[in-house]
Amino acid sequence: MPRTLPTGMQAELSKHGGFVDTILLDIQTSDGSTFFWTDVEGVYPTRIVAGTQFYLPWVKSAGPFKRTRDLSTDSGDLVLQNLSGNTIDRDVASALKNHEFEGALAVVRFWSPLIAAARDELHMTLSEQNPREDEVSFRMLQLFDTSQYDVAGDVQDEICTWRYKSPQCGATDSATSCTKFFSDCVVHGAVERFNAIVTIVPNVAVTTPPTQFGGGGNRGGSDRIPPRLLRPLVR
Amino acid sequence: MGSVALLQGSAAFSQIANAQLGIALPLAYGYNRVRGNNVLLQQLTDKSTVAFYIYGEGEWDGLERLWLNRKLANIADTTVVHFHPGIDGVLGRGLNPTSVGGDQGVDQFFSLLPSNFQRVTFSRKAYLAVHVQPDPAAPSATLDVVADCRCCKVRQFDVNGNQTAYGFSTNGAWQVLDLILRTVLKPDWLPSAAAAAGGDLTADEKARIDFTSLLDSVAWCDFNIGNGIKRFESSVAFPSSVKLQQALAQLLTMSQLFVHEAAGRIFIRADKPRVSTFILTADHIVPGTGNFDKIDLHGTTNRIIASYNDLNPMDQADIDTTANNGLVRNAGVVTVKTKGQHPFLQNDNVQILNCDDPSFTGVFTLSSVPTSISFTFAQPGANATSGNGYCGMPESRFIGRSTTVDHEKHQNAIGQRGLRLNAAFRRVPLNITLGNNTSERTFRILNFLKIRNLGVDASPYNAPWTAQFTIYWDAVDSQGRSFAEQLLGDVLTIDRSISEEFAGDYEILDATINHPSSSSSGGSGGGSNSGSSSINVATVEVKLLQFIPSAFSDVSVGNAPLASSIVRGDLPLSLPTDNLIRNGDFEQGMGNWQSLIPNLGFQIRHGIPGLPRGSSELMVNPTSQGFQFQGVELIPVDINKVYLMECWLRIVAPLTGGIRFFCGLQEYDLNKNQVFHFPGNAFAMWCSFVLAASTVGNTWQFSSVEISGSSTSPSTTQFNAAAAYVSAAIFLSGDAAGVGQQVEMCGFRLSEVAAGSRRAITGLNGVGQIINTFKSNPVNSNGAPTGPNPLTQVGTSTAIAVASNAIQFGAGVVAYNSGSLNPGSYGTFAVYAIDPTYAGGSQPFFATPSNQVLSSNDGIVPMGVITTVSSGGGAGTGGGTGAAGGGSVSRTLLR
Repeated sequence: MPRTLPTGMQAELSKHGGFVDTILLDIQTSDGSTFFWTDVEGVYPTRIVAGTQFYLPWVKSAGPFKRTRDLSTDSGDLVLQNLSGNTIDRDVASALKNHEFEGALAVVRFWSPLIAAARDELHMTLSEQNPREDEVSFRMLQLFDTSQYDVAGDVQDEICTWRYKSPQCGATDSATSCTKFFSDCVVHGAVERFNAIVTIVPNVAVTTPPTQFGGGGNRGGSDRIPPRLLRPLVR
Repeated sequence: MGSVALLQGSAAFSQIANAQLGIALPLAYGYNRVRGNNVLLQQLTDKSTVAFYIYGEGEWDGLERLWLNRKLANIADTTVVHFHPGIDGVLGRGLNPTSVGGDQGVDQFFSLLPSNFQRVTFSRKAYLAVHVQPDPAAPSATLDVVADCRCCKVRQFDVNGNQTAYGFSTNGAWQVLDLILRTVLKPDWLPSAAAAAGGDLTADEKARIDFTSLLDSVAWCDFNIGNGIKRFESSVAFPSSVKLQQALAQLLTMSQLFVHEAAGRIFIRADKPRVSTFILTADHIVPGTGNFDKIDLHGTTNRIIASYNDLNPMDQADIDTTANNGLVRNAGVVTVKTKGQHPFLQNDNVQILNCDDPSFTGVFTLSSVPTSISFTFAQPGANATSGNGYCGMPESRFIGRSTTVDHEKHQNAIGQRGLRLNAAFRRVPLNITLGNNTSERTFRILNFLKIRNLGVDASPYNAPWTAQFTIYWDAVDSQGRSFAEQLLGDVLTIDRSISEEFAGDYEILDATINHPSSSSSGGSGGGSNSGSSSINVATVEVKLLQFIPSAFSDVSVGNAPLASSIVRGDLPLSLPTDNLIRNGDFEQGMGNWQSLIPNLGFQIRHGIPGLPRGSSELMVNPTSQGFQFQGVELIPVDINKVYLMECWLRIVAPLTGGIRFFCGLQEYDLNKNQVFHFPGNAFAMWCSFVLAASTVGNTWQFSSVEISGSSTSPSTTQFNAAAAYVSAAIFLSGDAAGVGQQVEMCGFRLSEVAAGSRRAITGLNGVGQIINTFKSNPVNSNGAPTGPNPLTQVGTSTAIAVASNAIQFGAGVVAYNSGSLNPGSYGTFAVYAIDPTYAGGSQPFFATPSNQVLSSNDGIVPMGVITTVSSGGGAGTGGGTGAAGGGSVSRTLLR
């Protein structure tokens, strides 16, 4: 099931000569800031926002970009110059200082200048930022990175697991935080969405105190003994 | 009645014995058997129980079946069952306990609980609330709640990305999409929004999905490969937290799909037969970069072991052929004829499957069981006849199974070698799980995996090649198709201009884009520049796998349902009985019975009028050879106790030609090994045989025998000394001669005889009267002395001498030895012995001047009356008898 190329691309590729594609890089950090970089300076249509933008020629290299069909994480490498600016505050280093680039959305396009269209594009996130003396490198990971997400990741817990004011929580009051206890949920006016389990069936078995700490959010493993509750859960 | 077959062995996820907090909230698709996390369990003052079970992340579609204490419950009965699908609680509705299920309101059963139980909605959690009355017949004191559920609803779209439905589906492609939406693209979603017209995905969210490939995959899975069987269906649960990568891998394997991302879009694609879309010629590849190899072949797994829970019931009876009218639908009633005896009872739920005409398939409640090889149920539809397939009860679904597929040619290819040694087979195993699946589908999946990776398992064996090339990204083939169009999973044709030997179709596994810029930044610390170091054009390094069309097949290499008996819990309720033989009156059909000699010559018949006992019977009429019927259950016995065995039977025609009909007990030792009743005699394996003969007029007859005592060389009414268990056995001998011999039996009982007493059955005649005098007690019996009065005064003393004497009773003469007694005074006395068992012999003698004393003990046997005087010479009166008025030993001895 091959994909469809932009109009004119097929004919252009059939020619014996042509230009090397331009690398267009659109970046949007988690604070909403956008950056438009390329290896050939110019004004190009953007992908992240509407219209066109001037793309700064800071891209030294992009790639190789590896794609797989076995759920391995697609990845690529990105190298930017870190020379422009002044000796104290270089442009790229300054951007890295002022914005968090970890996890930023990055759209890489291989831009064919003759037909003003992208032959291909990759949507990725930035990671492993590494500013050095004269260049900055990033690792680029595919958006659909299945190794980064958990299934059945929610926990049957004695406190509510919804993010406060999330759609699932439903609270719309003016408070800024929630303790996730039922009593607080009453205050926030969202008790119908309270998803905690505040009852338990006594277990006559001897229960070893939990001894394994850390390990991230995965609490579903069978090797972890859940904490016993020493008092009624109703709050 | 019925539907009490145990759920043992079935794989219910979330098998949590007690409530736990801190565990994962399961996610489940398709059909699953669920036990849930019991988070609330409260016994009320009326001994009923309220219990809540958390099932999983919503929104679930609903319950299919529910078993409470292993009995099928009515899921529509809102006084007992409330299922909440796991949607969101409705803001502003409050926490009044009014919900009877179907929504996420606070459950009504909370109103039965003390106030310390906080009323909550368990928002977004599918859960079950039950209120169960006390159940004396429950298998244990622990409330047991198991459900078959239709799990998560999923969004469904058209090819343009318009949401067309939100509902339950077993289509793996929809499930894969839902999993991606839940975890990656739209984790903050609301079921109410997803269920609304048009759905809840924004245009930008939809732009992340390639709907063309998705809809193609949906159709690929839904395709009917014959008999209404969809090519792939998916049912799986993730009861504990796993990485999306693992979960997706399982879902994709189960439906033969694959997922990749390109240009910011996620492609959910079917791994199906597909044609080449690009011809790769020598001028397309960077010179010197082509390479064919089998470097991964040596360690590749060649034995795939799949574990799954069978979605279908086990094979509990095979349906007869169409020619033999295996399935006949007439006027809305289907009559099923099985090849052998079936284990089903009236009102059992039975699933019909794999028959020639799929219109007969489904789960049905049996309306009648006319014979042990037939049953009926109602099913609307045109009159039709079909056959084949099998049937089983839904309780036997979700049995954990394992299926292994070997690639023997590969195993042989990589096996151990040695001079003058035959090549050995080396197995490299891979264990995979295929969720809840069917045997047929499992074989297809495994066969695909085997052939795709290792080639056709046939001689001559040739494993598929892998290849690596660096291809110019600008490449366009002779048909004007560009290489840049090709996606992962697409098939290329390697032209003979590249390789004469290895030309053919190959699938793209990996592709690495090398832009010229990536080779221009020396010392950048970037990635590999392999294949592009010397050129200044964009290239793509590809890894290819030889494409084998024969790997794709809708024909299963195997479909093997497991044969299974019904493991029933308690048999359906019946009147209290002391019969140790379960279902000894055949009211429960084949329950607890098995036929040890295969023939069709018997039936369990119900609703038979005129039987001496009940209305069900075993009717034996062998068609090929002798008949042996035996109870499944081993009955523990204490050989120091006395047991009574009874049977009611009718020999329809006199037994001829050496045929004999027996009822008896097969004995087993402590280890439940069979023991011969008569050591070393294999033809006398049973004790306490009732050897039956026909009666005049071939009427019903009753036989009984008491089994008492034990011996290493026992009689027929003793246990073998090694016996610790018995099972009931019914046997018609005669081999071929037994053909056509008809015997009916309507009851077979074994009961324990209480110590110190005697069964009335041996003391009463056919109309309930005491059989003979010795079955009564001496006070209630009449007896007459056979000789003169045995009493004389000893000299002038007050002592009385009793001569040896005998008394004639109706059942026989009892003789007493001589003796003496001394009442201590002179006067008229009745002399008696206390001999309740008519033992006779030496007995103590007693004297009384009072008549009423002679009736004060059931065992009193009067000897006679005597008057002693101080002068001596006293003798018995009444003509030499002990009884006044003629020697009758009666209660009126003294006058």
